[in-house]
Amino acid sequence: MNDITLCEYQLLELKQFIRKRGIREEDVVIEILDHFACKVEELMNSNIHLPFERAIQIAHQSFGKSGFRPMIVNYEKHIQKMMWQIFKNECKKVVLSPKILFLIAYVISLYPLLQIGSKYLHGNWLFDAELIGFGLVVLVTLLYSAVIFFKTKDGFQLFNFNTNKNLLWQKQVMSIPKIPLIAVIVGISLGNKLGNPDLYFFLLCCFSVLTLIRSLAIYQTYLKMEEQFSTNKFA
Amino acid sequence: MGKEKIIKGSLSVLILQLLQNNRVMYGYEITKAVKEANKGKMQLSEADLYPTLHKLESEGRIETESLLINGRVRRYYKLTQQGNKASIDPLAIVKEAIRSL
Repeated sequence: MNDITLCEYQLLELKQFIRKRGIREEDVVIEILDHFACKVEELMNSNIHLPFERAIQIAHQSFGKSGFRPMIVNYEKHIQKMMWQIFKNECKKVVLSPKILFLIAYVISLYPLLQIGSKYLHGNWLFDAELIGFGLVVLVTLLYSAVIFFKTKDGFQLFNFNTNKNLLWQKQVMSIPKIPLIAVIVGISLGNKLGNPDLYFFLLCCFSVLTLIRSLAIYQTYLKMEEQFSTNKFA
Repeated sequence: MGKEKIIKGSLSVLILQLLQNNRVMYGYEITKAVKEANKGKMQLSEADLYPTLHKLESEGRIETESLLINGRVRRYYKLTQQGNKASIDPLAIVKEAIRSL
């Protein structure tokens, strides 16, 4: 006797059944569909007179009182946890990358040089070069962050589950250009109050580098997530 | 606290052991195997299994591979190196069971 295998039309019907119960995320639909189809096939094989529609009802009951809902809730948690884990790892990788280490070392060494320069080299070309160095670090890091912002701006919508948790990532991306802007405004007023423009320049530089590290890590997280989703999904 | 709660708490350990023995398994296969292993002692719904699988995946103990079977995508679960280590270390199994409670 041949085992019953669901046809394309029946699978489509199961898919619609799952979607009607509020499961829109394709990855979860895929996971539930195979499990659901296996259960329906098993029921129909154990009782060949069992109608397809009745088998669907029985198979759905096996998911418990809340149906598919716990699965989608858990899946969202799983994805968020995965994103944070990737983000943390990427932050570490970015900080330890030679280019960023060099940039950090450059910024740290600039501050004492700037203080010496402001004492002894005022009006000297070397002092101007140091100031330009600071300016360049800020400009380049902010420009680079802006590029990343535009690349990832709509990206996280790919992993859209219509939940607040996902909006959190969207907000993370949207904050990329806002944070440095706020820092510049606060920094200028603080620098004026403190009467120490060197410190202000230095802090602004540090902040720019931190923004860059954060932006790069967000971008890498986005790329990793995209890769993860594309390997898990079939066209 | 009933026996059922203890068995549910050790579900991840059970899954790791199943994957250690069978190498690669898909969701429905695992559910059936877990139910068989418990001989109906606990009422395990499908909704209980997948959270545990996802948890193990986010912890890096298992990984997935998707294949097209009978016109639908089937996700296969297998142990990672880290998961492999955990499933053969008996002390880790006991610790994991207690921790998950």
